[in-house]
Amino acid sequence: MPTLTTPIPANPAADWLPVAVFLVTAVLFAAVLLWIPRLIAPRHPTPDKARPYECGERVSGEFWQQIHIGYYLFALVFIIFDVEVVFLWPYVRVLGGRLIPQGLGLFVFFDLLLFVGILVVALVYAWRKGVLRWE
Amino acid sequence: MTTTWRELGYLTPELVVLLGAAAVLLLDLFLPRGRRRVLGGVALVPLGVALGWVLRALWAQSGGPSQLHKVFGALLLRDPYSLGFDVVFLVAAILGVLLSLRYVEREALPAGEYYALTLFAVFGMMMMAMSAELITLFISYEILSLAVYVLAGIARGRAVSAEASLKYFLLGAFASGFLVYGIALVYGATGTTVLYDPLGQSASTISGLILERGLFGNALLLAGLALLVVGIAFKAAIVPFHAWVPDVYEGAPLPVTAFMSAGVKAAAFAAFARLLFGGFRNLGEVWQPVLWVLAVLTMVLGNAAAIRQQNVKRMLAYSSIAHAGYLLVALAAYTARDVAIGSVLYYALTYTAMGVGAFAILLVVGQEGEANQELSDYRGLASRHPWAAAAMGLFMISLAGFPLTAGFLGKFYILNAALRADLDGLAVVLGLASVVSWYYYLRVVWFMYMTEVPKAAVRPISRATSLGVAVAVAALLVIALGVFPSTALAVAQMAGHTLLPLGY
Repeated sequence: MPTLTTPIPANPAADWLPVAVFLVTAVLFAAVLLWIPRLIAPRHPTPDKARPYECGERVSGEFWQQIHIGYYLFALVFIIFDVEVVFLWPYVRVLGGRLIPQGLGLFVFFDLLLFVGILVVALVYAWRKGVLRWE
Repeated sequence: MTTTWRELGYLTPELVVLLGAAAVLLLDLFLPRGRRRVLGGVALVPLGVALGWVLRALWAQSGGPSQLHKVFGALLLRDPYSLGFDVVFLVAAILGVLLSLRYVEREALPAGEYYALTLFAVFGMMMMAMSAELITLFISYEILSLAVYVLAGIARGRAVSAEASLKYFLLGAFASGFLVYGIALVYGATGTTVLYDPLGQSASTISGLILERGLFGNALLLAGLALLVVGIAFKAAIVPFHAWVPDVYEGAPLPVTAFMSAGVKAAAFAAFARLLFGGFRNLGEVWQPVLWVLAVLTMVLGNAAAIRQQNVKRMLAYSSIAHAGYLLVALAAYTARDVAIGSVLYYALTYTAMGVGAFAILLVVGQEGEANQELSDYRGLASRHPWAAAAMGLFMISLAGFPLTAGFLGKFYILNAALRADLDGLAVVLGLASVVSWYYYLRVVWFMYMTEVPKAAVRPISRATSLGVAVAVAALLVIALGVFPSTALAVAQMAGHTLLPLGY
């Protein structure tokens, strides 16, 4: 019977040691990476080089401007699929790997179909409501 | 090998409601604007099918041994308790949809979203009653909450509706935060999020670990429990977490208010009882005094505030707080658990019938744009519209708790549980609170029957068939549960017995 239980260590504080190590490493890593170019890279700034990079296009207009609401809706729809992938991958790896050898492949398939189906409903809804049309 | 398929089979009513919601949403997108009135009827189909399945499942267990199944490990429990609450949610939803049919059209609300969100909310409620694990409980709670936040503000044209939605959302997000934080602390203290194992197969549950490790005074665990109680008390509209109730109930569209006051509250109490009597039953000495205080506060404040209201919708909102207090009395009676759990379920069903019934009459009498809801609008109603007045009178005396109505027996069983648990003080408060509530319930009856106005001054009422059916069903339920309570009570008791864990 699968439960969500993890064993409790005798000394809970010891559990946090890896986290502390990780935090220190992360900060050091970023600091060192910022520091190395300062040390070795040549610097000859020109006005063209100092401009913000916009995928090779010439910079046009101000940054502090109103952004089309359409971006926001697109971003929301994008997140639907982002989350979908994030969820499907571990599902297939962990559950699929365990259940398919047991002959439950069809069950896994329909289970995923239910999940993807709900997302498809959301996409169809967004599509019919005109979210995907750029005006 | 086929266990997983069978497990999915236990979720039939939930899946039917979920697929129904998706179907309504899609249908709305492809129907021409003029045909969208059929959506309400479409929404009734999955609700009816699910109700049939649930009733059949309960019927199959009556007389025989009650069945209890774990679904997906121990995340969900398909037991008579969850089936019993499913009946409450589905009845509330069916009545809610019946109330909405005419209203959605008249107020030009977006029908597809309206009915789809109602079904999603019911899905969340049903999952909440089944949850025996904290993360699952939280997700169900959120499914329910998000749907209801939007429903409260679906009348976008009315400022009060938008205000209600925003208030509900902001305070609700806060309550969700409490709930998650509580889950985190409880997980930190025990290392599990599984509440309990009614079959006694696994000891590594919250309830089992509290016993095994003697976590009775563990500060982390107690803080977590306190936060969990706050999170759920918010949804259940319990004082002092009730500040949102009057404004949201008044601002939300009337059918949504009716559905919320019955369904959301029942869902919150379903989860509450499972949490306290299941996962934290070994800490009863700790949480019982807390519930005692909350119950007294809720009953006193709810009733005291209801007395002063001149608007019937707002009066019912405050009275709904008072009824949450009565339900809390049953939860506090934890030494008489077997009776207490059954009485919670029975009261939830009776409150659904009489509460939604009263809101239905508000719709019958009410005019476009939620007008005509002052107490004075009920003047002389009996002389002009005797049936509407009679139904309203029935719901009022049932809410007040008069004999031969459902409300009386509901209160009776709660008092029974309280007395068995030696909570004499709480029983006395409940009795006194009921007496106080007679004043504002009977005042409506007095306005309808004892005041005279010129007949022309009584405005016409809505004669929609769907409203009439809803009122008739609610009235029949109130009478049936009051006169022939044995079947419903047997189910409630069976539900109470299966919730009690055999082992851990």
